[in-house]
Amino acid sequence: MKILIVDDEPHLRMLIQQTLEDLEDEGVELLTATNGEEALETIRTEEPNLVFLDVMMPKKNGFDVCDAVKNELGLTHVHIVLLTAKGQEFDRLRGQEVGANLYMTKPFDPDALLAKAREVLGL
Amino acid sequence: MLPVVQALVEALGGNIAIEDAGGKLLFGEATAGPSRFPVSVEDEVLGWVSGSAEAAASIVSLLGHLAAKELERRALAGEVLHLYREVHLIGQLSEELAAVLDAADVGQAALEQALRLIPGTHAGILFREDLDGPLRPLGTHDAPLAPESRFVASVLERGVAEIVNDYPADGRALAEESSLRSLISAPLLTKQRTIGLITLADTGGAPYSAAHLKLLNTIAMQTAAAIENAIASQQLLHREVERQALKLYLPPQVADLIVSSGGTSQLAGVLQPITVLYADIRGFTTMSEEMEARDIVQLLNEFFTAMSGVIFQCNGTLDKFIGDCIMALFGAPVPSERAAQDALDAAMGMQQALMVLNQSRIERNLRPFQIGIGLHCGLAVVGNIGSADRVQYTAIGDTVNVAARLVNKAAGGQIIVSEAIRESLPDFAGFDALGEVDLKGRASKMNIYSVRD
Repeated sequence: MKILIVDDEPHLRMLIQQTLEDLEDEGVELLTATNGEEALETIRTEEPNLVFLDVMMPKKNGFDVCDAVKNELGLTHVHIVLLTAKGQEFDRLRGQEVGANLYMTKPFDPDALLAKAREVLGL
Repeated sequence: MLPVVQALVEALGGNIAIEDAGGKLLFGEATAGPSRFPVSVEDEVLGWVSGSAEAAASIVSLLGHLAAKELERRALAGEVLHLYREVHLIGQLSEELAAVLDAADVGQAALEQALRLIPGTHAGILFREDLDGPLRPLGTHDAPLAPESRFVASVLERGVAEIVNDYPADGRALAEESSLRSLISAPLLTKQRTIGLITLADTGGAPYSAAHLKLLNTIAMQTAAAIENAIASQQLLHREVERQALKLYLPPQVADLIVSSGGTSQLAGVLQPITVLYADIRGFTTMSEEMEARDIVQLLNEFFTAMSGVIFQCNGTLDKFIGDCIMALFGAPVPSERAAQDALDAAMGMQQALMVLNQSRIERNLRPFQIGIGLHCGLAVVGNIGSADRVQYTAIGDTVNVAARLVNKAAGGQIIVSEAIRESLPDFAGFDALGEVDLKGRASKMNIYSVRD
């Protein structure tokens, strides 16, 4: 099982990675990407089960990545959680349109993030 | 990483195999060589390198170094995540606390967040409304300490947060608290005082640290402020409810005065000079026999509404409606030298208001009616009288009884007053003496007067 963490901020990638570290012991592989294009490429080749996807990113934003994954590549089974900064207007409708499964706000609740990952992976 | 290792192996010209701690081959071939060298960090074996001793030693050294670096990075990342989690939870608590307006809910939210941040088997908040008032728990969780705990008293007295990591050995521990091994507690401080304390305890003896204490103090500060807000808003709400209730029988300005000066608990019985007004509908019994129930209710509602307005305008207190009769007080709850004058003004105003009401009733094809009014003044006991379930602000005593008798002497449209009223209003020239009359239940006769239109 694979989880992809996509965020252009290295600190946040590290924090999310650290949050999900325990899952590595249960056989989950943690992958990272630093922008939208890299994320899309990784999703295409690795087909992760779950993606934590930042919305505001250079090159390709989270909505576009999600749209490409769900609608263009047809990888509907890839569970996508959009991450949006608190205070930042999040376009729920856009999130729905592009087929995101859930969205969470940053600063994220590490406990909730880990619980969500476990739930999606059935651990 | 792999290319670096590969290059190194080639440079060393050796046949090298790398296995993980469980013996799973990660690199090279299983036939690399007979000797296995452990790759370890802080005495923990992470994997094995086999091959020629010289080449393997270099690889072991490189892998060991990389692994140590990775562990260091992870430790740092772990620490940062820990801080991030704390910041997140404290932020979340602030948000939650801002949204609750009930002290118990504040306590519950604070305890839940405290237990997410600080380990413990027990958590509790004890709170007191007044400095010498009783302590009561806020929120429900396994409370570590009872209000009568000596430790509680000591934290409240000193107003300083404290950690005790061997509680049974602490001089303040009581026998019933012996299951608690470690304990951490912070006072709930507001600007003026210590309103309580929040305590976490662990029966397993997990030691508390200075970092925990700092967190608990932060939670305690937020909680104390939120409890204070919750109580202030409850008081405001309570006052408003009380004010609305009082407004049903008091002029609005008097209701405000009472609420702002400490509430209805102040209205205990006192003996004071008051003027009592009784007004009732003449011939009501006969009328009601001839009318539909619905019409009677409509008549009474119109009558009471019109009369209440006049009474309030003249600073009167509406005591009660008794059937078709209105009882009102003047000079209570707030004593007034103008009570008799106010009552007389009210009585005349009521007769006028009734004329207006009757005009409107005639226009609506409804039956007009007339009222008689009686006024008397003197000392009476006024205050909240009744049981705990049902309390009413009223007046009792002979003054009240006389006023009730006088109204029976009043014909439709008439106002009858006692000698005491006439004496209270020496400047009023509109009294006509009606002579001495017998009043039911009284031994001596009484001089009564009617008021000229």
